[in-house]
Amino acid sequence: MTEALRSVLLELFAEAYTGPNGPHTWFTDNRPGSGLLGTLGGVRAEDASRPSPTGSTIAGHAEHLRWSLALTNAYVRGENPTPNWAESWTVTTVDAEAWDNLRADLRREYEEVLAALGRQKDVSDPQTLTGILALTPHAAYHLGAIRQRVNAL
Amino acid sequence: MSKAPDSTPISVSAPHFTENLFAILTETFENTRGVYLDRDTDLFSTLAGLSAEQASREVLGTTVAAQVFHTAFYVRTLERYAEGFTGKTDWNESWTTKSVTEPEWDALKAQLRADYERVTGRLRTVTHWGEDPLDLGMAVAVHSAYHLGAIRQLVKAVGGA
Repeated sequence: MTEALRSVLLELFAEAYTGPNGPHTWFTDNRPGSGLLGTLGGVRAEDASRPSPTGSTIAGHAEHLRWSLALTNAYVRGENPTPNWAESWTVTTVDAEAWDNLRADLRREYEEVLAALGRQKDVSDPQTLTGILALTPHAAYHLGAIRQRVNAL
Repeated sequence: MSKAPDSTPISVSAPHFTENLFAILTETFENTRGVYLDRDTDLFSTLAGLSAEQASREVLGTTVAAQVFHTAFYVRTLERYAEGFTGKTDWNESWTTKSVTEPEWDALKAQLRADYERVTGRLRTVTHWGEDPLDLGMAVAVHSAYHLGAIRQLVKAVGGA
């Protein structure tokens, strides 16, 4: 296990954020831009700030994901953060500038995590592998929620 | 994660990997343990207590029943491919159920559980984690997580817990 695992993880993680890389998909819609970044790119700040039946907003989901990827990148850099996951849900509404910044930051954090996944060798630490394997189910869960919210717009 | 010399090949023991894979599958389907979901937001917990009428109510262009049928269809389809099926799948068939009666809703939830348990049972027998079982395990987890995210939005809209 091994490079086969890395290949599967990279493919699924990239699909979650950038959508399918061809005619076949594992879980996103079979259209360009069906990943998180493409989906969020088509949403206005006003709509990203509209509350859902669960009370969350698209902006809230995006920030939660950005926060979680930033946490991952902190670990990659060798930092030892003490995360308070409640902080990941402190954004609910955004103006146009904040929305642009959030989406750009999410893309940057995603690209950093993707690069880290591409070079990660040592996964012997129990939390490391758990974190790596959970990245895509976590992203997929929020993408599913966001796409339902987008359908409602 | 941390940087290591590029000359060192990645290595993960099978028990280490399977422990984590099954933790994610369990989290997604039947018992949250804080791997990536909030408490009691797994699929079976989410669907429990939802009536057939609620599962059949169209919201945001879909129904919970449709999402569940599609999710189970996906699990069975990937299992077929893992067993050697090489034909094409008509994915339109995975969206043919939209509404259910109470007996049909009970049967659909039972089908999803049976499909999940059969596939995880199959994965527990894997001795060599090559591309095919890796694809099966991770794709089932990720695809199900995606539709769980959608279902959780729908459940709130139809008055579920």
